[in-house]
Amino acid sequence: MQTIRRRFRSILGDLFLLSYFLFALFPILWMFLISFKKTEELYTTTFFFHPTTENYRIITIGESYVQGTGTFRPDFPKYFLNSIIQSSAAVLVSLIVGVPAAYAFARFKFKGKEDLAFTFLSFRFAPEFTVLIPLAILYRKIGLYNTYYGIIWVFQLITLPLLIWVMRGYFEDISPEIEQAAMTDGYSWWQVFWKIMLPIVKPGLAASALLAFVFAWNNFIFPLILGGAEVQTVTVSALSFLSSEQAYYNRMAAACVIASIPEIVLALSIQRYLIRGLSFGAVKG
Amino acid sequence: MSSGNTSEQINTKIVRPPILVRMRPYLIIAPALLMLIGILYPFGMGVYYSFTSYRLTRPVPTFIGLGNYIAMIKDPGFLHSTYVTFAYAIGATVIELTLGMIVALLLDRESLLSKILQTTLIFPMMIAPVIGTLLWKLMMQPSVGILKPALALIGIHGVEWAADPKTALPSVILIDIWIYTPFAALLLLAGLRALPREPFEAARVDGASLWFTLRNLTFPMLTPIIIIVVLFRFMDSLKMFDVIYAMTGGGPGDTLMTYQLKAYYNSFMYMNLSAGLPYTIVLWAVIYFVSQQLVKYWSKAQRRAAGYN
Amino acid sequence: MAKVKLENITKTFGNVVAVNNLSLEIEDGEFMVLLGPSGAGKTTTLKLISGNETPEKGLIYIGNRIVNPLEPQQRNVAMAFESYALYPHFTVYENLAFPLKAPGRNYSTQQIDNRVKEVAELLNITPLLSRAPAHLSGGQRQRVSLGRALVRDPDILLLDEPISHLDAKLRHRMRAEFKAISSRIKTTILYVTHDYLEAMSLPDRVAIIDHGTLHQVGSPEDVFRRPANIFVASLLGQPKINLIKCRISTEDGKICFTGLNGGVRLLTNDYIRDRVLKTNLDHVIIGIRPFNMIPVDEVHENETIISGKVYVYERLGTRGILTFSVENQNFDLITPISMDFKIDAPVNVKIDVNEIMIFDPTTEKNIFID
Repeated sequence: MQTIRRRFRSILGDLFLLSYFLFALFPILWMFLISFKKTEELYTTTFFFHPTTENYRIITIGESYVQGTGTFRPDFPKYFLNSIIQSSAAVLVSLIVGVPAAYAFARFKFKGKEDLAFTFLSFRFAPEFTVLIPLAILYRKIGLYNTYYGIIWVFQLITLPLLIWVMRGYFEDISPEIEQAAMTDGYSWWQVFWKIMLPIVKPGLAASALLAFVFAWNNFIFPLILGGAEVQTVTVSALSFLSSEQAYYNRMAAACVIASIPEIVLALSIQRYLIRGLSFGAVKG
Repeated sequence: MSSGNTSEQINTKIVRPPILVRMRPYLIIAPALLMLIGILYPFGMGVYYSFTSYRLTRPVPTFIGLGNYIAMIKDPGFLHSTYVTFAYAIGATVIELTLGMIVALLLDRESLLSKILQTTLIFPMMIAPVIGTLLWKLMMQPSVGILKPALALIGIHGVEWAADPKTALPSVILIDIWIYTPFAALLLLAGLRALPREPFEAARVDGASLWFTLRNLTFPMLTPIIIIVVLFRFMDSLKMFDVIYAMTGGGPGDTLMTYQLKAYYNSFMYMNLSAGLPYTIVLWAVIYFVSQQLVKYWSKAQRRAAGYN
Repeated sequence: MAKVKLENITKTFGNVVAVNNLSLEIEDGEFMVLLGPSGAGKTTTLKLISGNETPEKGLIYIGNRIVNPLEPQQRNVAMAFESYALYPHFTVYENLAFPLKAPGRNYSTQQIDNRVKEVAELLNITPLLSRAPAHLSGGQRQRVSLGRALVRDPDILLLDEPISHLDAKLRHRMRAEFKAISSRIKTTILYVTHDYLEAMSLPDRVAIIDHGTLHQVGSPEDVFRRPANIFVASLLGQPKINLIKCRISTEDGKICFTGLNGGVRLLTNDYIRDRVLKTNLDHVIIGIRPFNMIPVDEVHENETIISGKVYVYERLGTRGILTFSVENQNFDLITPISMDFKIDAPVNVKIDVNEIMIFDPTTEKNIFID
């Protein structure tokens, strides 16, 4: 009797799990499908159609086409490049500023440490417009509107708290006696940081940097408000394929696929460190 | 060196490490502090402007105290805006926590299915929320989308998703759930895996039912992680912008105008900063204080959970 | 090599006082053991000398220099940590070579190689040189940690429980190795342990510390035969010294110690009598070492005998430990050969009165030491 009930539960569990994963993955697969559909077949077919790479071609070579009342020329490769440049640079800046700060939070005691650490954390939870509205004014005044520097600076709100908090956890995991041993062995604090501490946290550091990259890449609000055509990212541009006239859903799907590839790849490579990164170090995977 | 006097003098003097060594933590933090100031400055500006009448057409702000806030509260749409903001956050958080818990419990079993599924679990969250929303928008679209024919198969017709004010909120919450349930599931799974085995084995030997074990062992021991999930999801969904903006831009009409949406439209569409800022400041205050409490609660729960091991 | 002097050192961690106004001098080239129970402040003392901790009060001298403002890398000390603190991302070879590659030390690659191999050979870890610390056993890690400290030529060698996590046989062997190493190298050595056997066999002098306070410093023989107080006396020796509270009275011109309602009566010689009279005490605590007592079959007139009942007898190969009880207090004594005892049987124990120790009951100090 027990085993029958248990097996029933087990099958029920499997069914539920499968349904959930259908729910989770189907939209992605479907987007994939649509991106290969010809415009003529968009409304007439569902799963069986004649696939084409036309959409990808149009997007990447930036062909202009008529949409609504004007010609529309998406410069998709440029947007992709913008995303790469801005996300990477933002992460780089956060690494330079944040990793030493994370170390200081992990090792030293000083007044106001926890308050300061919480302030950095609060950036992550703060509503964007609290800062965006004044920044929009400020940026226009000092000429940072629609520039790489402007976006890279504001991305710090996303990348810096993550790097500081996650790296703090990794540093705290290392026994302080290892640093003490290295200093006793004859190395200055700075040399110990470079030769011992950083190599030890390297895997966690790489994973956190990649996760921060993903979040910067996925960000929509900041480039929307503080950027114009020059610095537009791939994430913002995805929305531009829809207009009230004729929506090129297939091209939008292709744009979405291209915009999502880096993240899926990165997500697969940092599986091990994902949990620490997502929870800002609160949960150790 | 003569003893006696001299050693007494030296003993009262305290010899400390050189100043560079003592200043080290502050020097290391310095760049981050500069960054902090760079962010706090616009924030301070925003707070200040919220007490002034600042329109881009009238760029010299005059101090009007709480005028903007009062106007905001008196605005007829304010109540609805508050409702949408909190309903979205609470609905999304509760469902994501529950669904994530179920998925985590199911994945915790040692089966081939779990291993395969676990790798792909995170995908919805890795895609940009905007893009995720577009996918669902596509699926919900009456002419191109797949949901209409799929629902028709089981006899459900006439669902208009976000076009219908009655179903707009559930639609966007659904998208939020799609994107962020993996977050809850992954964290809870990690927590489940870290739990000690003995209490559960003892419970099984004592003949405890599944629900009893869950309620009295699993959930209490997972409390710290549950708090983290609630913290992240509730705070993030209170300020959710991407999904709603991409889905309907706040519509239909005013149905989905959360605080952030209101701040956006007032400030950037109507150029009325004094109307937009109070929403962000109030939202910020709520988030700041709630998150502070949750973090404190989390520390306490962590310490208590450490006693279980 | 250099001498080390700690002058009125106090170190606190929050509310806990780890080292309390400690003053200690270690001679140039001396091998000193710092002995004490866990939590005594031994590791903290080592780290104060190495520079990994800074004292709130007091001065630390290495040689004739005050080193308080100097960081660890400027002090030329080497330390082996109790937790090993091996570099996890380096192989054993790289761990051992790391100190030699520090800036300012100009060893050639060949010299480094020779030195590393030499130390590895000494500690029997040569086959492990290319392994990572994660793939070593506890005992192997401990030896690598020790090797890393030995590989240099420091002024002072600080060793924190260097053999405590090895199994008994290996520990026995390493004690002998240490004795050999220390006589060969001229470095000043400060060796921390809670094991009194190491404290007795290895060093020139031993310093006994508890709760951050120094109790006594002296040669092992000195500290064992003339302990400064009850704590020191109890710390050294296995089984522990037997302690009895006694009343003092005079009888026939001799001092009589009566303890436990008459269960124990000791008459003493003149020397002890004179010392005791000088102190003006009417109560004392007597200490008798387990090997200063022996069970006897016949009772003679001039001997001091205690009569009791056998509690338990442990046979330990060539010797044994007899625990006997007198009026609800148990005493331990060591029998030189394995004997036969039945539980609860009566037993007469002769005490060597010349070897007893006498402690002031309030200060717990040994009355024979000023």
